[in-house]
Amino acid sequence: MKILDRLDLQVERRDESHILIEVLAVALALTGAIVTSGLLIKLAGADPVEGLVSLAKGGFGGTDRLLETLLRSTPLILTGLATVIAFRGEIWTIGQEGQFFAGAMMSYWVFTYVRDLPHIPLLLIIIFSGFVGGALLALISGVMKAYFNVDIIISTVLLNYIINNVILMLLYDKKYWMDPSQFYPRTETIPEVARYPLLFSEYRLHLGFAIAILAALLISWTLKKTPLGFDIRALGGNPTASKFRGININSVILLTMLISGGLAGLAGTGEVFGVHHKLQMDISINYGYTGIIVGMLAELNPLVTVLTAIFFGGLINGSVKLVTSLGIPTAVIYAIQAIILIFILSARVLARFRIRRKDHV
Amino acid sequence: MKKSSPAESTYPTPLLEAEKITKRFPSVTANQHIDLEIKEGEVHCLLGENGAGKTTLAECLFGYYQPDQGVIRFKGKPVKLSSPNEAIQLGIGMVHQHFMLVEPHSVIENIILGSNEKGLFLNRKKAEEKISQLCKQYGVDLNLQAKIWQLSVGEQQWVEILKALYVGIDLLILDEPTASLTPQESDRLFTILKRMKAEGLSILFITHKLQEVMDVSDRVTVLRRGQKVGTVLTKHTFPKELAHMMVGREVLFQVQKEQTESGKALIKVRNLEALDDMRHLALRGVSFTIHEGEILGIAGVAGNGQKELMEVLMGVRRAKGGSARIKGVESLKSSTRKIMNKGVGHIPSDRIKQGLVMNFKIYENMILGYEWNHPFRKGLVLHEKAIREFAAENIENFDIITPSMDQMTKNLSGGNLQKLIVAREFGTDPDILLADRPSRGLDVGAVEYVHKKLLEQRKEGVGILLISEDLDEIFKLSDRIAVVFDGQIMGMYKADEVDRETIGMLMAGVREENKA
Amino acid sequence: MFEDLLNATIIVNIFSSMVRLSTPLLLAAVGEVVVERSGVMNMGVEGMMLMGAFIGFFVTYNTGGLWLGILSAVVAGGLMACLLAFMSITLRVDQTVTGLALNLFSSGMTLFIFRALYGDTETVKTIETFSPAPIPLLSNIPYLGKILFSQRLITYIAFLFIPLVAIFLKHTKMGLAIRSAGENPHAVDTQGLKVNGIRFWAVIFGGAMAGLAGAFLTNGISSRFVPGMTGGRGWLAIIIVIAGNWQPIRMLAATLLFAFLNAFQFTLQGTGTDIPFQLLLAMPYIVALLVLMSQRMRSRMPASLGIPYTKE
Repeated sequence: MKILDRLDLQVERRDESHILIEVLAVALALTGAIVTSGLLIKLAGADPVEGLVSLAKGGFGGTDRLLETLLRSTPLILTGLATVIAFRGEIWTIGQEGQFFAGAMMSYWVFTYVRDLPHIPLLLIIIFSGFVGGALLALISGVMKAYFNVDIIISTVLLNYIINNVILMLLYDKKYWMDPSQFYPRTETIPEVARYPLLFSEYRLHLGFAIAILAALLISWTLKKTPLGFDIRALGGNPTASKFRGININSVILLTMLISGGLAGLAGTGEVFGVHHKLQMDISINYGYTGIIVGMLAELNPLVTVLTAIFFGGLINGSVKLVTSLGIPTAVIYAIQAIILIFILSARVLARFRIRRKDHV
Repeated sequence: MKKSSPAESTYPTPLLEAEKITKRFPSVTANQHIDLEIKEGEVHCLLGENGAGKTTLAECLFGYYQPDQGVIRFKGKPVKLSSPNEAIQLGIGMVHQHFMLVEPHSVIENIILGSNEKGLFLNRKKAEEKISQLCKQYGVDLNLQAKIWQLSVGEQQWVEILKALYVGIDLLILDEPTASLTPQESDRLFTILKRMKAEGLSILFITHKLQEVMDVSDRVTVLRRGQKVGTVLTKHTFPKELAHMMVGREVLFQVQKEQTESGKALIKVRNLEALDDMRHLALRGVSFTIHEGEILGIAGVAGNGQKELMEVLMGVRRAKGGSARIKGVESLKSSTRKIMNKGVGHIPSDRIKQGLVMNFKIYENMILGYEWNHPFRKGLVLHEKAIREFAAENIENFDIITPSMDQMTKNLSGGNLQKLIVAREFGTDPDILLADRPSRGLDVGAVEYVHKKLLEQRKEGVGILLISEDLDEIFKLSDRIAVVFDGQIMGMYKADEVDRETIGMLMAGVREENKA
Repeated sequence: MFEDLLNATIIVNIFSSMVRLSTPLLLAAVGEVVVERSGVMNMGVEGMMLMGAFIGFFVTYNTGGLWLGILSAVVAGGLMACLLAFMSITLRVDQTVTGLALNLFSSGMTLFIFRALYGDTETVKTIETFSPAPIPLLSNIPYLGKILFSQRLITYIAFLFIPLVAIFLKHTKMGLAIRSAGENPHAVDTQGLKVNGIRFWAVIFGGAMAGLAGAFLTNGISSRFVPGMTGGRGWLAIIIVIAGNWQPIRMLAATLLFAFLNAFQFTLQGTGTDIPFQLLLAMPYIVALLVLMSQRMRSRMPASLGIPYTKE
């Protein structure tokens, strides 16, 4: 850094940074991200300012839009929480997307067997199965790590691909789940009795949102106040010391994966039984992977995750407005999300660097 | 440029001069305005306790660190060492305390790493010839094709020295070179150093052991808490004076150990066998018993099975054979938690890696491992009040210096970290204590503290297994002494019935019967 | 069903496809092993490959130059790797997180730009691809000639990289430095070499190779770009490195296994079997999992893999 030498300054790196600097860094990062997004919009052939305004309005302009955003954020809160609880233990699961579908699949499958039950027990069973579906898939990765030392990242990614193929098979074949009256790969429409109840009669916001908020509170409580949460945090902080202090690492991994997968599974169930009322491929628009970003941007804090999820929900909804009013592909939202992630990750670390006067002889 | 024959001083000035060297780190100023001067062909010791700043100063001379202030002159010319590479180019080499070797690679590959030979490809043959020559010159026999992990500690150290000799140096810096050597290997090292001195090399020898200074050096510079206390000619001084300079007060060399009655057997280990991480047999049938109120000291150079022994007893490593009964119950298949709950405490050799989660608050580390036990857990939840009370009590009783228990553990100094670990273990009233090098890396004050606490526990009837490389510590604390070498117990003695020489030989693998 | 397969032509086709399909895997894996041997974990291989595929297609589509496209893809992969290196080595952001972020970035950007430029037209955009370059004489050998010596130039290059990288790592100064940086960076530092510099170059090499691998998918085989077309091959490259115990020659075996499954599964589809084709598509992934589970020995994993280097 010759420039610094000449200006008589030197760079130091510290382990933490002042809270004000962190906030400043995040603000700068967001600005950078917004500018870059504006550029992308320009690339797509629209006016950047108009585009950004559309984005904001589409997500947060008015009660209607706000509640739609909350609806959109529901699966994100859950997949975000799934990320948080695992990443706190440095268990790098990328399986949220697959577990999302596993939950959707399990709950649909069980539904086909108990469809004649009354509303409330039916719902309870559906919700429970959704959790179980995601949890089981995640458990496979957990077992592979605990007993075969297979990296969780790799096994969850592979299982995502595998599950994707399984559900394709089930949906494309009338022998299995494909609705015989349709030409499109989807299941039958789910009857009223099995659907999640709405929270407000005029809006689409459903029980899933309440479940998500409840989950956020539970996960926060678990991490802070329970021995299991203590163990997860210890594992994330120092796996060797955890082992030497008697923490059963395999148990922690298995339990954490169970909970993480279950949360992601609930997200899938919510989209099937609360929003689309059927199981088809596009019940997820990358909710699993976006959940990772949501969780990481929240610095793995469960309650902040709710906020980042809502932010991203607004972004996604806003991007729909971009498509309808300006003709930009919805895919822009994936690009923007990723840009935000990279900016903020870098900014947070840069905030830790300090520039100060050089010491003289 | 490089020395080939013994000579009188070829320069009017000393080989190396360092003036007013200052080096600061975020948490401490390690070196403050230190002056140092090394003459050609001299063995100069740098003496001080742990934390005095010796290693930091050496790293500044080696270019690994850059001093914040100060001037270094080598062979009369001022130099700015911005990297070890530059230091090596000038003729300054360094052998660190923790070897900087690549374990899976061969001796040759370690030595030629980063060499300035021309060309894209490695010339192993040529390197082998040159290295063999050096080994012959200093009377050392070494298999150059061997991989580092296959070598003994003494041999690995020789490889480190070879790295410096290979490129040709005038000044060799050695940082605590005898830390992991048996007494015999240390003697061999000193012989090599004498040879080097005869060839005109200068040596800067960092140590905290007074006897070594007296045995080996021409002059000694003493550091205390980052500052230089003084430089003296070795033949004009004596241990007591040096100790006084090191510590700033009178140091008691003897400590009273009370006689206690040792009681019933707490741990019975029989024919214990275990594999190490490379699947080799690390423990080959170890047997011993520890009773109430006694300290069994296991002496031995690191790497002879101590790590595996500790890990097996703590339930972190599976044994291959044999038995270990804790309070009469077989525990080789027990989990670590079960063993801990039986009243076994553990002071790990690597306090940060094996004992603490640095991101946790102090009060959280205080119950690390005990979070599922009452009173710290109430039903499904952690009982915060009980935890904080326990932490507060320990912080006070064990004199842990911190503004509050909510501080992050990583803000504590080394001595306080060890106090935290000691407090945690002793605060839960163990019946058995496994202490693995409990005073490693601590300054004299902290070491005295740990020793005091261990003896206190012994008085209260705790059975203690003490593993250490430091013979002073072993003799000071133990009721009985055993030596471990190559995974076996070489001898078991009452502490007052054996001398250091015998222990030293056993540590090097020489059995009693072979002495004749 | 299986009897249909025992036809010589079909068998030769399967093996020929196997060799062809090995190409992107080999290229990416060979790049990744150099990165990992230096001590860095690149989780962004999938993203770099995808970016390479897109850039390769994009440049070729607009300029007509196949090799220009390849070159651009290599540069694109290298640039993404620069970003990874900067974030994870210089800034010391967690390596895993950085790689994942880059994957998300790549899939997002390629999807978006592709749709923005070509999404709303009816016709599928295609490019000319490389034609096979049979080696004279050798390609006339019965059976083997068709399998091994009638491939595209890039395929030969990919296979050549295996011994090249093996020799590079074992017998060159740079190779020794890279291997040492992955095992004990402190040792490298005290020998006067710059650890982070070494890792930077290794990572850039890995990214460039991943970009090349991606470009082969479009410019070599499929002639068009489909969002997400890498389909997990980047992850397979990482698995190949593990399965090969970080040694290039062993990695070749793992690569051939996956490529064979891929080739086999296509052919099986063609014979009209009862097995749903989606499950056949999942076969390589399932086998990958089984391979990882059965491999107990990770004896040659670089000791400092994934751990950023700091002086203290």
